[in-house]
Amino acid sequence: MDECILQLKNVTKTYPGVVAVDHVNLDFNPGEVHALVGENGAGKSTIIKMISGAIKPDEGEILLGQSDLTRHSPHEIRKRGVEVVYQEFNLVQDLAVYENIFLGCSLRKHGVLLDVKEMVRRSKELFDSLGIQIDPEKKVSELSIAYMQFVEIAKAISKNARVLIMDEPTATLTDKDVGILLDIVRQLREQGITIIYVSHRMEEIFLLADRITVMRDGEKIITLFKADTNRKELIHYMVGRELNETYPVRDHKIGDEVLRVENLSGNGVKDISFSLHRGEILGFGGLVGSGRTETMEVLYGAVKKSSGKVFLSGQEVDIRNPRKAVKKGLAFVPEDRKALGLIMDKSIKNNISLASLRKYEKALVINDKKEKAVAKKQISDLKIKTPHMDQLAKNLSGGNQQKVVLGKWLANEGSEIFIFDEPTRGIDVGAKHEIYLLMNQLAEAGKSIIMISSEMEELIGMSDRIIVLCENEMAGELCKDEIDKNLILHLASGEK
Amino acid sequence: MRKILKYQTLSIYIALIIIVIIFSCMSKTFLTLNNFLTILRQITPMGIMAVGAMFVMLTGGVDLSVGSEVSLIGIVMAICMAQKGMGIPTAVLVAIVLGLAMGVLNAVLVVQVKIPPMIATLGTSWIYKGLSYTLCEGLPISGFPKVFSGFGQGSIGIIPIPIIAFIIVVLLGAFVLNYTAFGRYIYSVGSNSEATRLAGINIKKVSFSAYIICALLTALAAIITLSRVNSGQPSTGIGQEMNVLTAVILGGTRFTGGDGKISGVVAGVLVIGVLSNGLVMIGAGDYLQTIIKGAILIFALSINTLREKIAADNKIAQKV
Repeated sequence: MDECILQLKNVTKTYPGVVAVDHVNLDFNPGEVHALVGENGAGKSTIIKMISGAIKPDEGEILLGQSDLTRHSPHEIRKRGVEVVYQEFNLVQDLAVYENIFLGCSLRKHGVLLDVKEMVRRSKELFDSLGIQIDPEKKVSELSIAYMQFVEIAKAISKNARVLIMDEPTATLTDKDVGILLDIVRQLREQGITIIYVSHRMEEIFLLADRITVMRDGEKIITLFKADTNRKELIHYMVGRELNETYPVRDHKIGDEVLRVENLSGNGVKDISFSLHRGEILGFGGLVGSGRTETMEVLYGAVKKSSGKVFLSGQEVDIRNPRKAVKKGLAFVPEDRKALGLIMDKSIKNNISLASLRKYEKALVINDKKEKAVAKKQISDLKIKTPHMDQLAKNLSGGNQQKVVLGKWLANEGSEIFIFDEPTRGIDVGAKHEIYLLMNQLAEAGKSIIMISSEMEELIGMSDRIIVLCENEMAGELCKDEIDKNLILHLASGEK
Repeated sequence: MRKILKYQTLSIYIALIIIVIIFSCMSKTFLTLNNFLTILRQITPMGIMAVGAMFVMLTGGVDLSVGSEVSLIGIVMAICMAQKGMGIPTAVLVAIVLGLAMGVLNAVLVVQVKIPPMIATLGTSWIYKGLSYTLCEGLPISGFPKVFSGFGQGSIGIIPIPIIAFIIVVLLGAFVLNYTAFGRYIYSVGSNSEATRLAGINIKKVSFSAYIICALLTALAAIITLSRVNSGQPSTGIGQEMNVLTAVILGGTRFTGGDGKISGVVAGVLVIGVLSNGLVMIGAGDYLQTIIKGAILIFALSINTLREKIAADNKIAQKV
């Protein structure tokens, strides 16, 4: 084996009550893509943070070549060539791409003036070496999310990184952009850069990784060569139990039309028309930024519509604001649950009761017993893992947070139409499966579901029918027996 | 340090005791029942306003106009009683309507026009201040019906009436915040207004109500102040907003909304009251008092931000 570039020796990190990382030994070779997989809470993020110096291990050492990183500050570690590309972007939206790349180390001529020309030229060179087309003089805010991510990677590389850590780089990307990203990663490997790749997506891990390390409950379970393993085995190691990655079976009983949308426009989208039936899961496919979320925001009254009609069970309704929407039985489970779905610094109980609070009120006073009973029921129905209902939402894992958002709408008994926007984004494999089961249960109970998803497998596996949007307009509608991956991609890409 | 910040309410009470001990050593007349009652009387208007200001801050807003509102309401009431010959009930009604009107103006500017609350209420506070001076031409107004002073100066047994009013306001405030859906919404709006809106709650109504509540409580404080001083003066409320703001923040209310307890605010009010009184007792001048108050506000805000930072650090730490 090659001499390794980065080595973790017996590294341990404990927080009050949990051992986040338990005596882990890991080594990374130059020019390899090393995938780090595991469920939420497995210890991946802690390892990344320790390598980048954001937190210090309690025990053990982290060696970059010969030097021990645990003694250095994050800034010094970056200087030594360890860069992290986080899920949340660290780009300045209002600056040009090249300005972001050279942020804090801009090139100057004569010591004072900014050398714009040279910075643009070098940015271009950088993008060329990665095989991507980005105009360095464009503002970052004008780029798509995928391209922002690419700029972020380019920025990291421009600092002569030897080790690049990527934390869920494809969580927000569509399949097409994932393809580009994978090419970029391969380019980097060619250049001899070591890539530590954290992801939930099995597909890309198998396309990309040279070696795969599985973490579970803070322990390193095993490191495998890709060639020696398969998906099933990997999932087995991750969850410690057999798990079917296929989508759960549902008893399809599609009933009458409950929602009809005619020529809905506003919030950037144009002329969207579709219908939804009782017991149906209607998928919304398309690229990120194709107008799916925007359509739902208009439907839900979060943003005003400019024209179009909405009918609920045949009756035309005017949903002017979310309050009206909730009254009419709509429930919105947003993509960004931390910012839009939950009140992070409040308890599970308070979050669950939020939408239905008025129902527990008697003579102005909230009936504490009733509220607690409702919260307790949702916690046990949805299997929310928590010691008590007063736990703050921010302390829960992604899957449990999503369940709390869902619990909020289930507690409000009037909810009939559920809008799920990327329901399993950033959720680990085990919890994903549970969310699918819950969606199926809802549909079987006669509720109707709209599901936006950028994960092709999920979209195809869960939907009864799929609407595809492209550039803020309808691109097509596929019935159950027409659903086909290539057809969806074709429609979503806008090729005629 | 972390523990101190965690139990902020308790720490403030401890700080209060320390302040009392210091002043007692420095002044012989400080620790007497008489002075104790004086302090309580002095803090009442500020305390009542602080409860209102806390409602606003919990929603993520701030109201800097409360001081000027006290002045304007006092002057208008004084004119009503001393110059227009109105009875006390009519004058009180005028005070309430005026308070309501000022609250509505603040609320419209912040909630509907969407001006940042600090600027909006700074603007209105100057309008109210200017109006008070204009109406009375800068001169004090006195000559109210005799009974009127009984409200601010009288006692039931040993307890001054204003104190009773303060206690009632505190209890009502605690009730609304802790036991009603409206109270829950106040916290929710301050923590995450967009998530609250998407849960089907009329967040504009919630914020609007907070400004109205604040203005109405300010009207009550103005009535008490006018009755205690027994003379309408345009300078009465000047700078009061500073005391109120400091008390609310010192009491642990999160400046950006969503977190805070009434018991903390009461503690904050007591600290500011005792400090104001004690500084006078030991002969510290007006200017020194001003400096100290500014320093305390900044100190309180620093603690506030520090607490947020520690909470954020903990969050990162827990996301393993």
